[in-house]
Amino acid sequence: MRLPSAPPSPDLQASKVILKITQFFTIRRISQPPKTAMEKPPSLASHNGAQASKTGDPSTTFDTMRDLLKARDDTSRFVGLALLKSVLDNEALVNDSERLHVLWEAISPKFLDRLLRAEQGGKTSKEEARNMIDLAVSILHTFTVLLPEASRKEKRLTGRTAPLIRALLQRSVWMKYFARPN
Amino acid sequence: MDEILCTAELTPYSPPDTTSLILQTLLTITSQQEGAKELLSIQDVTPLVEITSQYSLALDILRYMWTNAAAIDGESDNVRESINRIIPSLLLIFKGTDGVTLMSSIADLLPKLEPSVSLKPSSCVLC
Repeated sequence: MRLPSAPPSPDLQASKVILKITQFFTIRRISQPPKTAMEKPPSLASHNGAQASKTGDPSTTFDTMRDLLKARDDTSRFVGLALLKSVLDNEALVNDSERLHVLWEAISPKFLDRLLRAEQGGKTSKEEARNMIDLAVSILHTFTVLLPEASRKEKRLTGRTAPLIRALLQRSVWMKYFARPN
Repeated sequence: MDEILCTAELTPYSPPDTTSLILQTLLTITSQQEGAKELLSIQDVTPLVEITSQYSLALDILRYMWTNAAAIDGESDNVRESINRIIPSLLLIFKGTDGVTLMSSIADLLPKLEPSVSLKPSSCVLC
């Protein structure tokens, strides 16, 4: 019997590494340097992520986030979102509507939709899928609170409605194999 | 020779925290006409309807969708069609409950609907 194909999952090359970084950022503030050595994807080295975290300079962090969010590869985008999620606790950014707008515009809506569609299967574990969905939901929720009315009317936000509905019902596909004896 | 059978089991899984955040986000989106229209355009909102008995926010979202979309020119027919399609499902979902939550939500909805939606009594399940 032919095996059904696994449900599509976001193309994250280093998803396990990224999730470790995500968990790290949600626990600590960005300004504190990491105490444990952590393997970072190559794209991070050129973005001075470590530099931003050592100096705690908001401008550098802002530039880093914007560049990561605008990057073409999923790894950078994912790290950018995780960074953004932790930084949104920072009041300075929350009150800066101009910078907030820049960052909102830098987020790829299609990438958010793909995160919301994350399912267990293939390379993605149940926990990883859940983390991806939670990250996208958290970002969207925070922006619905922070964005001005004019931005909330735009397709960039309203277009996420269908993926959000689907995300209400996360499915995990368990493949069960039965060997029937003769 | 052994026969290998393969089945796929779908398990609904949506943690309460995530669900609440999604619902709050959807509520904000449907609070505005553009968002309400967007939700109205989605044919299958079953995941939302199914949790209305557990999450009152889900019921609020539907109500906001109908109310705010009804105020848009040209959307009355779509709103009516949506109500006719979804209310029967809601009745099923709330079967076994005292129905107070659903009834009060509908009672809240009716006065807010533009007259054009309920003008044709024979085609509107609420009338």
